[in-house]
Amino acid sequence: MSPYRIGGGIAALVLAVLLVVVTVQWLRYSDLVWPTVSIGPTTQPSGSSATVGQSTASEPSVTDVLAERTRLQADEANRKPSGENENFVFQRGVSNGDSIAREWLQQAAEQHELLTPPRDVSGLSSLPYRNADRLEQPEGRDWRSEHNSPVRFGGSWLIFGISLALALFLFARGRIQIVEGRSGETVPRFNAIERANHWMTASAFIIMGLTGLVILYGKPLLLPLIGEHGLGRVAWWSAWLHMSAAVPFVLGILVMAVLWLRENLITRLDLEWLRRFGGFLNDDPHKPSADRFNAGQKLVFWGVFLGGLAALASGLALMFPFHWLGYHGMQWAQLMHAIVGLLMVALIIGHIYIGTVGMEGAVDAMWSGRVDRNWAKEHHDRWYARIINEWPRRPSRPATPAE
Amino acid sequence: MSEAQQRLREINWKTDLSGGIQRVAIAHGLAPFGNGKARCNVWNYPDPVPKHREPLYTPRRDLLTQYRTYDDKRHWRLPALFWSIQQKDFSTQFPLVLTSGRLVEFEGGGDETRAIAWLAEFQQQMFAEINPADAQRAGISNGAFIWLATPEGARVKVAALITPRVGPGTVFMPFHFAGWWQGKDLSSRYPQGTVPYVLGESANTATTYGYDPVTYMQETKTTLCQIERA
Amino acid sequence: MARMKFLCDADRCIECNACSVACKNEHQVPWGIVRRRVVTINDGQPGEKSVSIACMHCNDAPCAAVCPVSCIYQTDIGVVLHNKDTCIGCGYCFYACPFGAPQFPRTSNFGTRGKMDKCTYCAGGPEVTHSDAERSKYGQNRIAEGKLPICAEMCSTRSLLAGDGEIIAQIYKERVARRGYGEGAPGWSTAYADKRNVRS
Repeated sequence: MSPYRIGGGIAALVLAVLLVVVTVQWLRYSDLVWPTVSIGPTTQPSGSSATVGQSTASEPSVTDVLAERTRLQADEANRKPSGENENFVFQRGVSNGDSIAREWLQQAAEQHELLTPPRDVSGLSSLPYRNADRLEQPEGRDWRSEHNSPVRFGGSWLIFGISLALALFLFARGRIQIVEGRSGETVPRFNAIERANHWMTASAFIIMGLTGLVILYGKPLLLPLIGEHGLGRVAWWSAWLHMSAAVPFVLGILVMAVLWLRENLITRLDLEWLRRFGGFLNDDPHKPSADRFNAGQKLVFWGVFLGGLAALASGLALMFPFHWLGYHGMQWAQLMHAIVGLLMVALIIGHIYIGTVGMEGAVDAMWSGRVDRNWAKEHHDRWYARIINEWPRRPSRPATPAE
Repeated sequence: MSEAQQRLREINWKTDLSGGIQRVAIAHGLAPFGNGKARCNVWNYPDPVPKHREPLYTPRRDLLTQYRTYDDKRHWRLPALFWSIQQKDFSTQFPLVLTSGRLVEFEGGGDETRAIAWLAEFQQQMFAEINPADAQRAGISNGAFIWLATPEGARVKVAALITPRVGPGTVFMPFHFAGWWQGKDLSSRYPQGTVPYVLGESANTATTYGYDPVTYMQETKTTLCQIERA
Repeated sequence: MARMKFLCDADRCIECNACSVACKNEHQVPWGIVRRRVVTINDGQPGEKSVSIACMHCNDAPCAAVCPVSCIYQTDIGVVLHNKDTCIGCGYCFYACPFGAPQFPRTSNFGTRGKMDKCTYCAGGPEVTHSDAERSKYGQNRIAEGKLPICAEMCSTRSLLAGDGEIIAQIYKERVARRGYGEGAPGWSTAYADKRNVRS
C-alpha cells in the first residue's frame, strides 16, 4: 500500500472521530447564557461560590438592600433614598449558574399576564441616529440561534465532512498517477501573471479563511485555550486582517475573471467529465476529454468568483452596517457571509487537495507554470492538442533514449 | 365608607384618563376645563368679564363680526395696534396658523440649555411640526428643510417634522433655538468657544406683532404662516 | 436572589427624557452614544404611548450568546455587563439585541466600530469596583452602593421602574388593577421569557 493511501487512511480515521465529536456536541447543544459573576458584601470569602440566597450573618445581602430600595418606587410620594451606602463587590464565580438561569426563565413564564407578545415595534425618537426609532426587533433572537447552531455546527460538519470524503478517497484510490509516467518534457500551462495572481489570491484567501474561522469558532475553540484577553487580541487582529486581505482577494478574482472567464464557460465536455467524475474512480487510462479547464476546475472557478462576489457584497454590508440594509438585511448579510465563506473553505480544501496530494503533476501547473506532456495529454487532451499546434515542440531537457 | 367612596378616593384627577370628569361637566352644560363661570367683574380691564376676541392674524374672517379685536389703543405714550392690523386679510397668502411652544429638553432662549451636551443631543435641530395633509400639499418630506414665511416679511429656514401631532392647518415651532438668522448660520459671530452645541432659527423672528391689552406681553402663540420646500 | 429588571409603564411615560439625560450625566456618556432613549409609538394619534428603552438585561441574553470573543457576561442578579478591553467592535451584539441597546462610537466598520457601550444597570464593569478605570470606561457603579439605576430613580412619573423583578412586577400589576388599564410590560416577553425562537 502506497504511503499516500496509508496517510489517507490515518487522516480519514482522525476526521471521522472529529466528525463524531462535532455531531455529538451538536445534538447536546444548549445555548443558554447563565451568570458567571456574583455580587456580594466585601467580607465575602474570596473565590467564593456562595450558594444563591445565602448571606453572611450580620451583613445585609444585595437582595435585601436592593429589594428594599425597589419597594420605594411603589410609594409615589417618597423619593428619599434609604439608609447609608452599602459596599458590594463583583467577583468571578457562580456555582450553579445554569440552574439560576433556568429559574429566571421559569419565573418569567409565570408572569404571563404581564407579557405582551414579541413583535416588531417602531416609533419616533427625537434622536437623529439610525435605529433610534426602533423599539423592539425580536428576530434578533432568531438570528442568534441560526448563527450559533446551524451555521457554526453546520460549518464544522461541512469542513470535516469534505475533508473526510477526500481522505477516504485518498485511502481508497491513492494518489492519481500519470498513467504513462512522466515524459520528462513540459509544456507551458500558466504564465507569470496567472501564477502570481493565483498565489496572491490564494494567500489572501488563506488569511481570510483563517481569520474568519477565528471569528466564528474563537469562542468554542480558542477561548478555553488562550483565555479571554488572548481571544480578544487574536480576534481584534483577525477582524483587521480579514478586511485588509479582502482587497487583494477581490482584485485577484477580478483579474482571474478577466484572464480565465472565457475558458471556464460550461460546455458539453463538462457534463461528460462530471458523469465520469474526471475518470478518477477507476483505472481506465482514457480520461474524459477536457479543454484547458475541466469541469472540476470550472466548479472551483465559478465557486470562487461568484462566492467571492457574494462574500464581497455581504462583507461590505457588514463593514458599513445599516447604510443600505435594515436589521433583517444585516442579519441575513451576516449569515450569508458566514455560509458563503464556509462553502468556499470547503471548496478550496478540495482544490488544494487535488492540486497537491491528490494528483501527480498537478502542482507544477501553478508553481513552475509548466506541466509534463503526458499529464497534459491525459487530463487536458483538447487543450494539449491546441497548444502543440501553436507552440513548437520545446523539450525541457534532452530527450532520453527509449527505455 | 362605601365602596364607591373608597374607589373615589383612589382616583386621581391628574392621571385618570377615563373621561368621567369631563362627561359630568359637559352634561351640566359647562366647558370641561375651568369652571365655566366668571367669578368676578374686573371693571378696570378692557373686558371686565372675559370674552373671546380673534387674534390679529387670523384665518377665521367670518368670526370677526362677533369676535373682533379692540380698536387701536394708546396707553400714555405707548401706542398699540389692534383693529388696524386685524382688518387686513392675510389669510389668502398665509393660510396656515402658526403657534410656538416649549420643548422639554431646553429652557427659554436656549443659549444655556443648548450648551449642555446631555440635553442638546436629544433635540439637535430646529424644526416645524407640520400635519401630513399640509405637507403633502406643499410637497414636503419628513426631515427636509422648508422656508416658513409670516405676514411681516420674515422667512425662517427650519427642518420639517411631519406628524399628526398638529391638526391640519396648524404649524408648531419650538422657541428655544437661536444662532441662525433667516437661513444663515451665524455661529461665526459667537465669541470663541461659546457656540452652543445646537443652533437653529429663532421662532420669534417669525412670530408677529401683537400685545396683550393689559400687560403688553408679546403675541407669540398665534399668527399666520406659509410653508414651502427649501 | 433578586433578579434585577427594568419595567417601563407605557401609560405613564410622558417622554420627558429625564431618564436619558440622567444616564448621560451620571456616566458622562459621550455625544453620539445614547444608553437609554425614549421612543414614542403612534405619535400624534389616539393611543400614543412613550416607552423608555435601554438594555433590558435579558434572560438568556442573545448579545452574550453571539459575541465572538465572549466579552459579554451576566451577573447572578441578572445584570448583563461587558468587557471593553476585549471587545472587537464587530456589532454582532447589536444585530442580536431585540432593543438596540449596544451603542458604538463609529458608524462604519473600517476595522472596527469602536468599543461597544451600553446600559450597565449602573453596575459598572469588570474593573475594580469604584476605581477610576471603572468610572471612565463604564460609568458610575450604583449597584455596588446598594442603589438602583439612576434613570428609574429620576423618572418624573415613576413610569420607569427598576429593581427586583418580582417587586416591580407586583407594583405594575397593582397599578394596572387600580386604574383599570395597562398594556403589559413592553419587551418583557422578548427579554425575560423563553422565546428563543420567536418565529417558531
